[in-house]
Amino acid sequence: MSESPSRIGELLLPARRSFLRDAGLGFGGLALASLLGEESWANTAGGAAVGSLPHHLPKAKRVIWLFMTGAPSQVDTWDYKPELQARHGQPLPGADSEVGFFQTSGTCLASPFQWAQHGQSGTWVSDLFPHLSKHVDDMCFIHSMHLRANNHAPAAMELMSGFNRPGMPSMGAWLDYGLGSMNHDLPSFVVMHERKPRGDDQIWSAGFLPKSHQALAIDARRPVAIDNLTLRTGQSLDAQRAELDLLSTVNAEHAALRPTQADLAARISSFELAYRMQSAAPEAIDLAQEPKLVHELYGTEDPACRVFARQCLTARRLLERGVRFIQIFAGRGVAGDGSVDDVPWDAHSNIETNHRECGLATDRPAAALLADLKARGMLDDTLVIWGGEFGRTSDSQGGTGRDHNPGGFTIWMAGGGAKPGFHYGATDPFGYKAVENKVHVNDLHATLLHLLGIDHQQLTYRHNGRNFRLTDVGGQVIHDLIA
Amino acid sequence: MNGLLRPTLTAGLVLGLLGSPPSVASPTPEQVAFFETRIRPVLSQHCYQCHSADALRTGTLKASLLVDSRAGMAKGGESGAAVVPGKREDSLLLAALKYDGFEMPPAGKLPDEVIADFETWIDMGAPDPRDEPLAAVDERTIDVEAGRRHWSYRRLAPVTPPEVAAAGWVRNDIDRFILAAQEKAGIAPAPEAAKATLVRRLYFDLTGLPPSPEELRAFLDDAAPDAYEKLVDRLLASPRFGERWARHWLDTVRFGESGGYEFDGDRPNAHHYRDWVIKALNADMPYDEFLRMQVAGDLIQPGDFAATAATGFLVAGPYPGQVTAKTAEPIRYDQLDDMVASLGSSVLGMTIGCARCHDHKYDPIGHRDYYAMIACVGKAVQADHAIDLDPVVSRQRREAWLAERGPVAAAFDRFLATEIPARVARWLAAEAPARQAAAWLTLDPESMKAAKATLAADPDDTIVASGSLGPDDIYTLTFRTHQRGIKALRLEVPAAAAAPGGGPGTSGDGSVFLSTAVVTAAPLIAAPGRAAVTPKLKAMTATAEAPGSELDKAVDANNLTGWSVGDASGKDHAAVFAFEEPVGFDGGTLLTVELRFENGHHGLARLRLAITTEPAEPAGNALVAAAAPQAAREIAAVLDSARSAGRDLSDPAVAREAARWLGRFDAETEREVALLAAVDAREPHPELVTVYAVTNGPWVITGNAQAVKSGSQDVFVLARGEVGRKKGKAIPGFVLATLSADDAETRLLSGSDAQPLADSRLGLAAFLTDAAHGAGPLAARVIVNRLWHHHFGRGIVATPNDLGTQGDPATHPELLEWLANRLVENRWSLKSIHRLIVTSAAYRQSGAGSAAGRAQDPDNKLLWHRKPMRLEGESIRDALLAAAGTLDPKMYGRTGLDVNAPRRSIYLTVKRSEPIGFLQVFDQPEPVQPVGARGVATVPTQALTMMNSPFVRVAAEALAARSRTALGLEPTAAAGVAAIDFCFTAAVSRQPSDAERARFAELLAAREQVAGGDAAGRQAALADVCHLIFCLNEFVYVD
Repeated sequence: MSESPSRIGELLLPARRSFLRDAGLGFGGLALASLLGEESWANTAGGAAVGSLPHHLPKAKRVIWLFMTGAPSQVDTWDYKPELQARHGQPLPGADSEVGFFQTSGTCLASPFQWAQHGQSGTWVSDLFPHLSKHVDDMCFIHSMHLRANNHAPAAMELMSGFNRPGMPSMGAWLDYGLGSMNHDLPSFVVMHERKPRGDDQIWSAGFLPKSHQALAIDARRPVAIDNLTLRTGQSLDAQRAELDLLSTVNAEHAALRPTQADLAARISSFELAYRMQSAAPEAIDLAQEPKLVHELYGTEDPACRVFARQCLTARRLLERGVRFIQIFAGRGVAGDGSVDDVPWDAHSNIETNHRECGLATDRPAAALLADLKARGMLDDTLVIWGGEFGRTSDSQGGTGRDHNPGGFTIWMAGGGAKPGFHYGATDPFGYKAVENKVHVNDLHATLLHLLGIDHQQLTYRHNGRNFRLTDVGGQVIHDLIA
Repeated sequence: MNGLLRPTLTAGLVLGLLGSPPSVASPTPEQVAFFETRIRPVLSQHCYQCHSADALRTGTLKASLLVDSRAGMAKGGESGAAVVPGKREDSLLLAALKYDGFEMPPAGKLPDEVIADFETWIDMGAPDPRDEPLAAVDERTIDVEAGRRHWSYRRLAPVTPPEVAAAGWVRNDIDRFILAAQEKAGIAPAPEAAKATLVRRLYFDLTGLPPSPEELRAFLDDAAPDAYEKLVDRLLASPRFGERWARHWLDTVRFGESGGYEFDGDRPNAHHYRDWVIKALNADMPYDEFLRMQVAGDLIQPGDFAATAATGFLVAGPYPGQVTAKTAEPIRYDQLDDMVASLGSSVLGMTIGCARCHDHKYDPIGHRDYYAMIACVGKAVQADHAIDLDPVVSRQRREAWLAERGPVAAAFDRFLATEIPARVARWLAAEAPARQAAAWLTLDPESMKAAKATLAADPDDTIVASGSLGPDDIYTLTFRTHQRGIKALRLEVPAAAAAPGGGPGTSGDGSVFLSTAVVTAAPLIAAPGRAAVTPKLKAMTATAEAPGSELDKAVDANNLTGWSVGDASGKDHAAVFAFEEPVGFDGGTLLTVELRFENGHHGLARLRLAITTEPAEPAGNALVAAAAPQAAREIAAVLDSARSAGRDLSDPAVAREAARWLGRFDAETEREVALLAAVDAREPHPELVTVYAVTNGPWVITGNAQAVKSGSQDVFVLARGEVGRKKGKAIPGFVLATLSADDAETRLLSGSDAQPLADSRLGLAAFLTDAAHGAGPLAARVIVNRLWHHHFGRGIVATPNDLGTQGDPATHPELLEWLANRLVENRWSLKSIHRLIVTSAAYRQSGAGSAAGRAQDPDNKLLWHRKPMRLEGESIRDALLAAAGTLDPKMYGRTGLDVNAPRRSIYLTVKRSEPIGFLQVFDQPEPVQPVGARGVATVPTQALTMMNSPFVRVAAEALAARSRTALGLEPTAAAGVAAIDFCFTAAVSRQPSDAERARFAELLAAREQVAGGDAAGRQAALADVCHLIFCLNEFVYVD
């Protein structure tokens, strides 16, 4: 016990590095940059095989993933198939009894929507997206996505973590682990949802990564977005400041006598960060600060899309403030169609009414987000991703619906180094299965990580005797997708 | 090169054996031309990149498959031959090109014409002029013998504790190992910690709770030299010990109380497993038995509640909540994988799950071993069992009841024999004829129940509803009858003055709306040819029918429609339904009448049912035709029925049935029947508790909307883990490298001659715990390392779930071996190991470390001092409740998800989709995979939780109030330093220093000034101080 309180400052210094490692950037993902700069957990996790991050110059600094929960149909959105339209009611060539989750008819179901070409790229888009179709020349389409799981929860896990089972870290957590935070007092990884998607928090889990890489989930239904940010009744910031001064003093004395436990110093700092976050986080998500024109652009007052509009606008504010990875689980479904709104796009019984409603709920805000990011010069280094957990069958289920189909579906990216106005891969002439330049989830992840400056094979975490990656043992960077 | 893996060069072998493939001896020029023009270019363009000698050289070879030579094609890769000449279906290359199983080339399926060329080529015998020798692929095969020499797989070997120089420091043999390593490194251990430090350390470590102020005082005042050892014994015997250490075990077994995945269905009976663990640890159940029970308790002690609950381990994992025919089989294999991979991690410290698709890459665990292990649990499925908690007591209760019943039953039998024939004859002569004239018989209910209302019967058989008269009720009524050929049912709904709106309905306006009526007829006495029927009902007539809501709407398939009397409420009503086929069984019938009032409609206030054996007329007179009580004609029916069977009232069964009905008319008979009925009503029933656990049976999963079954219990070996690629039935067995010898597998599976094993799961239980021949040594090493991990914050092996080649090396390998030996010698008593560890000098060190230690061993691997350890979330929460004085010591049971419930955290429900925020923020792991060592992160959300969460504030308020009471302060009196001392001690188990006391006193004074002098102000000011004490590092870090 040789250390005197006067050496506290000195003791805290060497502790900083350990704090960076152990506190990581968590906010339960909440992060803290005045202390951290852009230093990442992985860079400080001595010995972990991550190399020096970023591994190369990133094209994208941040990601916003518009997750179309419930799985939109590729052949009713972005993957136009004249052959399917022509053969409505006839047997679907290659109909495969293994495809789907329930039972399908084996009979072609034409898309009930009107299709037209848009933009310089001449991209075919159904009339579900009058707003988004104006942005096709910014979009980079992958028409040949496929994965393994054929039900919502495992597929959403697979799309997020590369594994179709719970307990594995999702991409946002991997990024927080690998790249750390870009901001002072906000989380690095944020999830937004209304009704939770099927699979709940398991979808955006930090898995076996330290809990500090966990997402902050903002539930659109709750008046208080973030837990424990509000001072208790009767408490003021001034009074709390005085308390924290006392706390720091006593804690520092305690820490000085325990020099080998660096976490004690980290914990002292964490109270200071928490103190600051109480002011910063509410400001970041306060939409009242946005001008009326912006609200109108997104449609925050339009009953058909107001929830998603508010989420998109909140997301833009968070991205501006240095949040790195945001996922919005989006799209409100229609009752009466048999779909339930934890999987809004899940059009088992009627593709037309279901998708029409989901289109209305998401089209305008998503287009507004693209326009807004572009206007602010943020689209260049912000990667926008649009897609669901799988696609839907080209044959009908129950006459007018479509079943799950993980064998082929479309997602698109925009900005952040994705090649604009570009189409990659293809499904067969009926949009049923990916056949050309197939892109597995592992490949998508490898490519996304590449855009973010990460070599997917080098970002690893040791768990239960093995080094895990987001891309498991697969994944190829698809350079064609990169601008 | 890893010592356990043996590279084998197969090229020469293959070539030597085959020379050239036995396909086309010498291809014709035409065949060669076909190969060169149609086949080779495709292989070269699409396949060589990953499957050629070049790929092998550049390290990009996939699946050990080479297709750049004939030999390579014949040999194939990990999954077997790529091409079998003449056999399309056996040629995996063809399947892959067709995207059947494999999908090759991965970038996209080749055109159909190309695939057709390959078919043609295979049909012609796969002529292939490429005679290049097969490149040598470095194939790893498991060397089982070498595997058995891996340090953690070996048999236990005796270890002698080393000699040490500073022997005076040694308290037990553990210290010799610790000190010897330190002496070698030139480090000295830290001095023993102060008593006040030790007591807090020991309480949290063994019970997860702080000492109460009284317990703290008692220990500090105990000057006996063995005061510490006595405290150890007391805490090991405390029920709190099991609660603390069960939580550690639950981490390693991914315990949860819901299914996870979609819907995350609750498992309301899963907590019995957690309770069993607590009890087993408290009782110091030998660890080998502890394991055997979890793997096969249901087979070891069939029907025993505790033994069944123990098997909750195997089925604690997350399972999909929605299963269809297309997903059932892969999900079943995932479930088996979850069982075995979890067993591997938690019990064997082994990553056996890695061998699902191929041999383990690093450890000597074969693909074959994995499937052998899952075959052992192939019949195990999850089930909710209703089990008698205490069969002995149940039997005693039943015997006592039978003794009480005996004389009463005998008296009744005498009455049946001596009185009934005459009484029945008398009644038949005197009264029956008049009563038998009525066409309708009112039914006397045997049982009545409603989803909401309370139902009771009047003497005239009218059923009256009371109590909760809400909408959407369902009445279920049963009746006995001996009538045959029953043709119609009459429903009378008399106006009920007491009902709102004058009835008959219970809604505000008395309206009637019967959505659905269903009748089921079941035989009283089972016999061949007598099966329960649900006769189709036909609407005959009703007193009133609203347009669109006629009577037939109550018997259609649509529950949205029903029978309504429209605005004619407040009057008596009735309706008649005919049975399409007459009902009534020989030996009597149980009629069940279900009346459903759905879609917001209300039930009936009063109703009476009657039956007739005469044809029901569609006319309205059936509604008012006279009725007699059912009993009147039942006696005759009973006698008729008996007569046709050649029996009469001298037969006790006939007399009993007659007496039952005669009681309606004969007081003496009614009394006799009632006497026996009263005893029968007291018949004891065993107390059944439902537990979620394992059963052996076919796998049946009920998904969300559809039940899907997968009948087969066979487990197959799956190439690359894919259900579409079965390689034959998996045979039960174990990880060979963990056995003493190969033949131990059969012996462990079959048991002894005296006690042969009927089930491979019993063999698995034996395997895991058999120290002589099975994996017992490994299991022992794993568990003592876990105990060490929790006592010191890091295991002797820092990766408690992996003692394989990829795990961390042991810091004190001989100590680990020595502890494992002690465990087995001490008949697997875990408490004996706990005692050894916590009474060692190594454990009792202070946090003061030497400069040499810091320089030589900054990570403290040699344990030269004690590092403060942060409490787990559960302990932080429990400590808050304990300091607040609000902790409810109740043990066991189901608590729910409310963080504010004042029970220990281990009793809060573990719902996979709704982790409890307070625990999650303090690093509670996800209950998905076994976790051996929790992460400890320091994040601002923890600080926010401590500063702002209502839970912490409530605890602070409670501690403040508790201290005021303890100190006898008037409500408006200012709290002084005594209160500060009290609260500080309750929270961190010591008095504040003078400087600390002064600081908190200053804060208290400032707050008292602001808050004012009333009782609420005084309380709030002190609570502010308590709240800040809870935020201290010292509150969550234990020295």
